[in-house]
Amino acid sequence: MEQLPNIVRERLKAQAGGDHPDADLLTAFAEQALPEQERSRVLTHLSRCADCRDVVALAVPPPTGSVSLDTARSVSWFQWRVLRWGAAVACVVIVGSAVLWKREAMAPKSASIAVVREQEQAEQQAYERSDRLAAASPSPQIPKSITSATRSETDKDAGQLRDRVLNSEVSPKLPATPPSPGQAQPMLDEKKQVVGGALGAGAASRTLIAGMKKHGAEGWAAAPAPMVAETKKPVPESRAAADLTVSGKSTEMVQVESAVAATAPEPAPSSTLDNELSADKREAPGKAKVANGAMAGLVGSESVEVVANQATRSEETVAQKMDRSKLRRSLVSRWTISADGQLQHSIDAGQTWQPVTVAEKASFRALSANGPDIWVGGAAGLLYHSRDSGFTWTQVKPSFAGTNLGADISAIEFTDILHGKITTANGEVWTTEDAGQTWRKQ
Amino acid sequence: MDSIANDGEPMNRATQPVPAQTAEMQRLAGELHAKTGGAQFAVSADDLAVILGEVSQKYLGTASTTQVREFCLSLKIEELVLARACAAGNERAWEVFMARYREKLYEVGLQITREESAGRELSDSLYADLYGTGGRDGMRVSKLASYTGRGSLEGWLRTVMAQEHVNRYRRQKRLVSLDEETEEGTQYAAPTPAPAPTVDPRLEAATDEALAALSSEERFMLAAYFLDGRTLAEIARMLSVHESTISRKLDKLAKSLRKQILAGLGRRGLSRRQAEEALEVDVRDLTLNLRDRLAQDSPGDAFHKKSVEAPARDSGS
Repeated sequence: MEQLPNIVRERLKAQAGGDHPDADLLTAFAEQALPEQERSRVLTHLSRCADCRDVVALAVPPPTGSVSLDTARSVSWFQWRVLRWGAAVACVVIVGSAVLWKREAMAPKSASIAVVREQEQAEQQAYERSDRLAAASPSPQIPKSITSATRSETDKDAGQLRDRVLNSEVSPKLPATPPSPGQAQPMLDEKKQVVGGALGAGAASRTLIAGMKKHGAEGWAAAPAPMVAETKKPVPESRAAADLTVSGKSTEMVQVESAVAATAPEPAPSSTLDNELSADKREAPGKAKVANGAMAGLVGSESVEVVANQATRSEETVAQKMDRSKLRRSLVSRWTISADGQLQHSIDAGQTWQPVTVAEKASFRALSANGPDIWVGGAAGLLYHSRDSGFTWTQVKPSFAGTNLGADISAIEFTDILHGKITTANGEVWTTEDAGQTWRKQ
Repeated sequence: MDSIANDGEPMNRATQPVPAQTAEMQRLAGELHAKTGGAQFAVSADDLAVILGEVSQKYLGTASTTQVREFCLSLKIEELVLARACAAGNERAWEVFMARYREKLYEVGLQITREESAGRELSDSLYADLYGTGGRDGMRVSKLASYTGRGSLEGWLRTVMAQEHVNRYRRQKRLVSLDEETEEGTQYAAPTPAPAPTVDPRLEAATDEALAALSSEERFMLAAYFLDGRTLAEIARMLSVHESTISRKLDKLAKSLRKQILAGLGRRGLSRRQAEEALEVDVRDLTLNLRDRLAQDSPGDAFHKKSVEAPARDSGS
């Protein structure tokens, strides 16, 4: 405390106090009950009168023992020396809480990413096993289900695709309950009706053919049974084919083949993807195939011939998971053509490659992969298209003004799933703007 | 020094005959009478109106009706009625008063005197004054009749007891025992004041100027701390602020005063060095004299037996 000069003490003491306030005023002053004006007058007197200061000091009730201790303890918390440390602790707590909150906010994202990665790894392993089984299978044709969803977007970003897969963009379109073997025939009949209706009403968006007419954007979702497109393959005995000419233009023919597993024993549902795949492969050779419909669509003067095999599936959940797996596969697959013209793909970023059988004895020279949309071309205009990362293949025969593509394909270039260009060895350039539905020759 | 006026007559407005009760005062007294329970003490609404008129006249003088109403509403009406009923000799009022304040008065006496016997004696003497044993002209005059309700009755009793204690002490302090004077000589007698040292009038003027620039509260804090030797906690309780505020203000005031005095001395023709020397020399010259004067006159030192030197007494700063 700064020392006060003694001259100040002396002059303070020498000031006249004046009249003394009465006990009521001093009491009211001590109890803070005086108005400001009266308080100031009393204070002025008190500053000059030592006796009245003593009276006020004695009149103010001292804090009692326990109360004073409590008061002192409580007051000490509000001292600056305590408050400054309290402020520092509060800052640390706030910063720590913010950091923890941030970490907690990020934790679910990392957890979901981890789950996605685990799913990807599991599906990759499943496909590796399925591919190995396919290679070891005595049957050269392993039926593969057609995904019920084809992508209309040109997503090359794997993240976007992953998001769509996780959001089950495909699965809601699938039936909620898997059809039983007994339900296969009614579903097949319904399929025929749908195909027929599509021809008449033009609302063919729910049929395979209409789906392809609509550039494959969608339309396979309602197909109750997976389909396998097998061209250049001997047609089974039970298959019935029907050709239909629409609107008098016979330049276009679409043959649709549908196979229904009528007699093959249904495998027990399995919870693992490996078992599902194995069951799917085991039942495939014994499936009886029945032609259920055919249609022809006409767009201009172009013609497209599509031959597809449909195979019913007893377990929709298997198809649903397969669909997810196919799309997943498209995210991690890499495609290439070997030196002997064999199409190969890799699911481990190019570390290992597995051959893909598109068609028997087919040799390819050109490849275009655009997400799950794969185009491969070879000699003599051999052109195949897969919308589902190579699970199913469809042979496409481009034609324009009565001229078919017959030259050797040297290059295929698709900027997206709709727009593509094929260059042949003799300099022909074929372009499409509707995913191969129609072609133009330049 | 004059004794502290218990009735406070010098400072307060001169007591005048109770003015004629206005209709407003009657109505206000009627409103307040129902709340105070004055009926049990035989205090009617008219009596209360008279009391309120007397109190408002004492502190407000001539004031507007609104001011009188606000003033009356700020009073401790219930305790005022009780005190006036006791002063009037109402037994029921005394029962209530004794039940409420008997033990408290003994406690207050002990707190003030810090001695049980002295405290009880002080309390008993106050009881006598409250009851009105010391009547004038055979009339019993109770001290409670001077209570106006500005503060609480308990606080008023404490203040009255403190005033009585200060007056007693001052009377006792100025007395010198004849036996002691005879046995021990004159060493206990009040010493002859030494001649005051000559102080530069410019220094006094500069100091008075600096003190006049302070507010009354600042001067009160300076006097209570540096003259009376009150602790920061005691000053804080008197002003109802925190003692850290008192400490901060006092330190700031002491520094500011020194600067102001030096500046005043500079305005009066002294150089900076001369001003500082005058301030320091004055300190040396006044130290012994101030000690003597504080030891004799300052009741604060005598009450609490504290050193005159302020810095060494307060640990809270």
